[in-house]
Amino acid sequence: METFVIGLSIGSILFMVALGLAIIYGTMKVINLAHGEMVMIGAYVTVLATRHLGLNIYLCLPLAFLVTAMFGLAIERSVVSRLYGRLLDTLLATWGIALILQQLVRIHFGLALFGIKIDGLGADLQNVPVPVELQQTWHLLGANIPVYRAFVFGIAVLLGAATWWLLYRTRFGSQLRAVSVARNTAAACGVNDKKVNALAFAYGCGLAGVAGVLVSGFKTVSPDMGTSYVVDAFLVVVAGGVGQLLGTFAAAGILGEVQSFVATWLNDVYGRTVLFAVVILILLFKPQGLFVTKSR
Amino acid sequence: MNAVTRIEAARPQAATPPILTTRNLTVRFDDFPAVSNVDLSIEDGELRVIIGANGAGKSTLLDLLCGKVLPSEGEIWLRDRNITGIGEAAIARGGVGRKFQTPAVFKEMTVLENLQIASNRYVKVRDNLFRRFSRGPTDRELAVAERTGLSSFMKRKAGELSHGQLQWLELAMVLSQDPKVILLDEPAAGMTAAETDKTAELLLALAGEHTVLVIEHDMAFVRRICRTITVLHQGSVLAEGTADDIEKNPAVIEAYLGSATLSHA
Amino acid sequence: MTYRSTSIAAYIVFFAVVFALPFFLNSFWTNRVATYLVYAICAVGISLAWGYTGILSLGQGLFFGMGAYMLAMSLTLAVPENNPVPDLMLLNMQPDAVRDLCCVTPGSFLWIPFRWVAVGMIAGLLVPCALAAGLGYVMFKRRTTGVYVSIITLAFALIGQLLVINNQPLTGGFNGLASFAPLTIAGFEFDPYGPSVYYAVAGILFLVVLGLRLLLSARIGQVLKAIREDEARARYLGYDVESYKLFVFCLSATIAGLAGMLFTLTAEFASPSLMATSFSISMVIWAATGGRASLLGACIGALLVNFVGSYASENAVLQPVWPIILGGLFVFVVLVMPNGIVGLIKAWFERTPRDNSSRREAYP
Repeated sequence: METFVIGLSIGSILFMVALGLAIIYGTMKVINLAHGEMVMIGAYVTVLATRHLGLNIYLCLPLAFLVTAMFGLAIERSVVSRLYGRLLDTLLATWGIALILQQLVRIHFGLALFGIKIDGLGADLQNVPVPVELQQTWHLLGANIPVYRAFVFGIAVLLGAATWWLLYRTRFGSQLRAVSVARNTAAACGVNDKKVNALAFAYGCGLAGVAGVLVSGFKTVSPDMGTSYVVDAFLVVVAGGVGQLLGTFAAAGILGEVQSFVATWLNDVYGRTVLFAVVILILLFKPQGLFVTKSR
Repeated sequence: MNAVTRIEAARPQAATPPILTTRNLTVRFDDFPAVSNVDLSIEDGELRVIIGANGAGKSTLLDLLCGKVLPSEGEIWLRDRNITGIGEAAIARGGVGRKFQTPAVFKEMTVLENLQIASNRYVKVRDNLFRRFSRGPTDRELAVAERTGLSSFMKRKAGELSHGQLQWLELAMVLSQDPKVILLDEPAAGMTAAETDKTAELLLALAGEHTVLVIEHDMAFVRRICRTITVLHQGSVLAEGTADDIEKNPAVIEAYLGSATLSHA
Repeated sequence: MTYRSTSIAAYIVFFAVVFALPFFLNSFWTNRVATYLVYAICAVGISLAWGYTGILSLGQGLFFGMGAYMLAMSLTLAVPENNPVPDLMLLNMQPDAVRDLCCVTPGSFLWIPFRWVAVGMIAGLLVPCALAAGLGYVMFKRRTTGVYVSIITLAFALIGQLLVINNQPLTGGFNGLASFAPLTIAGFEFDPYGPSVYYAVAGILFLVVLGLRLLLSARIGQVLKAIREDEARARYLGYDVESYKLFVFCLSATIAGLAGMLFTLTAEFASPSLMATSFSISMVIWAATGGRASLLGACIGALLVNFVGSYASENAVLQPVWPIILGGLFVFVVLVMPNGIVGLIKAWFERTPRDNSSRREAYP
C-alpha cells in the first residue's frame, strides 16, 4: 500500500511536469528541454521565500507559479518564438537555456563573481522546511500514508482540474486548443497565435514551477535536480497521447506506479530503467500514445 | 486510339486485366467514410478524370492508390498484382507515380539533381553506395526537361523556380520515374492560361504511353483533356462517362445544385 | 576562388596542421589534442546522421561509451595484476567465489573473450553497430521521425548509462574502468602521451573523413539529402527511406564506437559519464558550431569548442561562467548561424553575384 501511495505521489509530480510540457508541446510542437529547470526554479523560489520572506509552503505555490511563468514568457519571447517550425533546433536551444539557468543558480545569478552570496542559492544542497501539519502520517487501512504525499496528490488533482477548466471553459482555452489543432485556421479566424504561444508556454512553465515547490518538500534542492524530470515528463506526454489531458493524467499515474513498484522490488535505478523501457515500447508500438482519437 | 467506354460495358475478351483496378475500396477515418465501396477500372493508356465537390474523396482516393493511406476495406490491383498496403516505395517501384497538388520537389537541390534523383534506376542502399550521378544530364533527363520546358533551368536551385515551373518540375520528376500509371492531383492548379494549355497538351500526349489519372476542378480544363470522367460524391462513385453523359446525368445535376457548376466555358 | 576549391584547400590545410602539430607540442598537449581529435571523429558521425540525413540522435554517448568499454575491458585484462581476475571483481565478489573469470561475479564470464585485445577492438565496432541496428530497425520501420527519434535515443542512452552504473561488479559502476595496460599491437606499444596514439587518432580521423566524403559523393549522398528534405517525396520516388536511415544510423554509431575506443587510448578511462545526456548533446553542439552538414565543419567545431572550453575551465575568471557561455553558444548557433561556421563561409561565397552556370550546389 505504501508503495502505491508513493507511486501516486511520483505520478502526481510527473503529471504536473508533464502537463506543462504537454501544453507547450501540444500548442507549439516544441520540446522544452529547459522544463526541468522550471521545476528547479520553483524549488529555489520556495527555498528563498521560506528563508528570506518567511513564507510558508502554501504561499510559495502561487508565487512559484508566477515566477516560473515569467521565466517561461521571457524564454518564449526571446528564443523559442524565433525558432518557429524548427523543432530539432528548439530542442538544442532550450537545452542551452537549461545549462544557463543551472549555472546562474550556481553562481548566485552572477553575484558570486563579485563575492556576494545569497543564502539559498549556490551549488550546495538546500532544504525546505515543511509545515508541521504536513509532516504527519495518517494511518489508513492498516497502512502509513505520509500526509505530504497525499498533499502532493491533492495539489496535482487541483491543478489538473484547473487546467481542464482553463482549456475547456474559457475563451483562452478554446483559442489554445484551436491553435494546437489548426494554427493557420485559428489565425485566420482572428486568434493571435503568437500571444497564445507565449501564454501557453508561460502557463506550462508555471505548472512545472508548482511541481518544483512540492518536490522541494521531500527532496533536497540542488541546481541540477531538474534534468531528470524533463525526459520522464516528455515520455509521459507521448505515452499518454499528445493533446489528451486525460491521457497525460492516466499515463503519469500508470508510469508513477510502475516506477514505484519496480523501485521497491528491485531498486531505484531499475525503477527508472523499466520506466524508460516501457515508454520506448509504447512509443514504438503505439506512436500516437495510449489514448488517442484516430484521425487523418 | 483508345475508345474508352463506360465501366458497365466490361469487355469480356480483355485478355490482360486493366492496368489499375480497385475493388470495394473503402477507408474510414474515425467512422467517417471518406471513400466507400469504390470500384474503379482503368485501362492501359487511358486518360481518366475524377471530379467531385470538395470533400468528395478525390484526394483521399489518390492517397489510397499511391499508398499514403491504408484502406479499411477493399483492394487495389496493378494489373495482376495486389498492391494493397505494400507501402509507398514499393508501389512507386511498381510503376505508379504521383504528382501532388502543392508541388513536392526538393527545393534545396538543383533542377538537374531533382531529375537525377527521380530517374535513378537504383533504389536500394547498396546499389547507391558506389555509383555516382553524372555531372551533366543524361539523354533521358534532357528529353524530359525539354518536354516540360525546363532545359534552360537545369542548374537552378528548385526553390528559385516560379510556381508554374515547380509544377512542371514535379511533373518532369514523375515522368523520369517512367511510370506505368501517373496520378495527378489538380495539375493545373495555380497556373496561368498559357501554362494550363501546355499542361493539357502534355497530358493528352502522355495518354497512350502512360495511363493517366487526373483529379480536377476546372471543368474547362477537364473538357479539353478528358475521355472518361468519374464523378465522386461523398466518397462513392456517382457516375462515369464522357463529359456530355455526365452533364446530362440527373444524379450528378442534383448533387451539384444545377448544371451551372458543370458547364462553364 | 570558388567555394569548391576553397573547400578542398581547407581540407588540405586542416590535415596538414593536424599532422604537423605534435612537432610543436609537449606530451601533455599532444595527448590533449589527441582527445579533441577523438571528439572530432564523433562529431563527424553526427554530421553524417544529422546534417546529411536529418536524424538527430541525442544518445550518441551510448555508442561512444560502449566502444570505450569494449576496448577498456581488454586493456584492463592486459594488466598482469588483473589476471586471472581484475581488481574490480575481487572487490565485489562473494568470499567463496571461484577466482576465475567464468564465475567470480555474476556476468563476469562476459569478460572472457576480452582476454584477446583483438576481440576488444572488434567488439568496440560491432557492439555499438548492433545496438544501433536493433534500436534503429524498430524505430525506423515504425516510421518514427524527428523529435521522437531524438527523445527515444536520449532515453535509450539513459537506460544504458543506468545499467552500466548499476552493475558495478561487471562494469566498474559509477567510476568505470581506469587501470589499463598500454595497447600493444605486434610488439609496438602505443603511448598515450606520445606521437603514436596521436597519429593513430589523426590517421583514423583522416580515413573516416575521406571515406565518408567518398561515400557521400556517390548517389547515396544525394538520396540522403533528398530524404532529409522531404522523406515522403523520396518514398514516392521508390526509395526505401527506412533502409537508408537505418544504414546511416548504424554507420554513425559505429563511428562513435570507434571514437570511443580511441578515447580509451587517449584519456585512459571508460566511465558511464561518457553515456551522459549532457555529453551526447555537447557532441551535437560541436557539429552544429562548425557546420552540421559539413564533415570538416564538424571537426573544426569539435576542436574549437573543446579548446575554448578547456581554456575557460582553467581560467579562474571564466571558469564559473563557462557553462553559461556554452549554453549561450547553443542558443546563439541555433538562432544566428544554424549552418555553423562553414555555413557562414558558404553564405559569403553565395552572396557575390555569379552567373547561373557556376551556381552549383557544393557540399564540403
